[in-house]
Amino acid sequence: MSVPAEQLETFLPSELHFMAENETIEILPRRVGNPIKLAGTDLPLMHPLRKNRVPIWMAIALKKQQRCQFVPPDWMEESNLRRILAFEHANPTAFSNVDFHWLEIAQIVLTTAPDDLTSPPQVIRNLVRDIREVREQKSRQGMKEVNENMLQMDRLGALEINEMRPFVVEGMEEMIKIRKAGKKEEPIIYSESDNPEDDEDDEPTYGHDDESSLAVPSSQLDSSLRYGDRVDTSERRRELSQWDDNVPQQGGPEW
Amino acid sequence: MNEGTIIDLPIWIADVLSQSEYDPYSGNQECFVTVKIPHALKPSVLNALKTDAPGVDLRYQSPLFFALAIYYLELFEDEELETIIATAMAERISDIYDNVGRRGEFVHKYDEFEKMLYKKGCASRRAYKEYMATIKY
Repeated sequence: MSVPAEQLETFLPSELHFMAENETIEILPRRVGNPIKLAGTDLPLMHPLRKNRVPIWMAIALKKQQRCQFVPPDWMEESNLRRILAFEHANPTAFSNVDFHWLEIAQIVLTTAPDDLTSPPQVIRNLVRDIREVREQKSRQGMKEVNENMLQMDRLGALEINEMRPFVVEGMEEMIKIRKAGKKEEPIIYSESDNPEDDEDDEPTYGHDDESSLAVPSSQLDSSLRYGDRVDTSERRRELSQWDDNVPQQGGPEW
Repeated sequence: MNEGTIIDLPIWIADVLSQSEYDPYSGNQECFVTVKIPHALKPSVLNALKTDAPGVDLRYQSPLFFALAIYYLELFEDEELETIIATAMAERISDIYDNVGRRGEFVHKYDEFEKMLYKKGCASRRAYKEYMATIKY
């Protein structure tokens, strides 16, 4: 299937909008609704004027049928948005802690349920836009720190990350190319005598079916160690060097 | 062509020639050619990049400035050049990011890589703006 080039490297805002619709939001139903079992989420029993937490896509569908009223998230209150804006102004290097999908959710609530907001929708929309502009300015400042290894900006929203992703990825790749060009590494050459099994049969063997292809016999691998475990590297290094010293002996020390 | 002549060659030819160790005419075993630093990477350009990277007109030096620099760095180890190019690129990238969504003369200073970057930035900015413009009041 052919996909346009810009969709290969990043999401369209409409795709993020779709993903944000799977977040939950509180609604006030106007009619009784029976609980429904769905794959992934269960919809609770709905009573009129009792708050229920449902996925946004459900809330949108009910709202379109005039069967519910949105309860906008706390941060979409005018006072809270003003507080967030003040925080953004006061901290030139930190971003305020907002919902990951804050722009999309604001967009959804403002388009489908502007009448359920506690303040006029224009005010909310302008505040959201102001916050977004301040954050954008800060992310531009943050770009000054870019290098080939990392770029860290905490608490950016999905849409904000999405907007800078193609640019940053492409830029950092080019910087990595420069660093790689400058560093010429010795090519790794495997001598044939390392693996005598290969000489006997011409068919190359893939994977680690037999133990001889492993650099370290699996009996000596620490099976209790899992990916993500914290390892005290200094102790590990000492153990390794110990093992190196004892290589001529048959069978290394217990790991 | 006499020995000691200085000529401009495409860098890929210079690459091949500098790696051949045998000179068929004189028969000596030294390198056939000595590669000088390309015009685009001459010290005056590098000094300009060191002082004010975003202001340098890289397109005038070479439309493929960074590609050339990377090719050259692959051929010859030059740690100083590598540092200058890498820091200059970081500075220029953040400058381009500032300019995304704007129009102006600055585009003429970008080399091909930077132009591509600028276009990508503009495209995603446009997509974002179109999305945010879906509210109508």
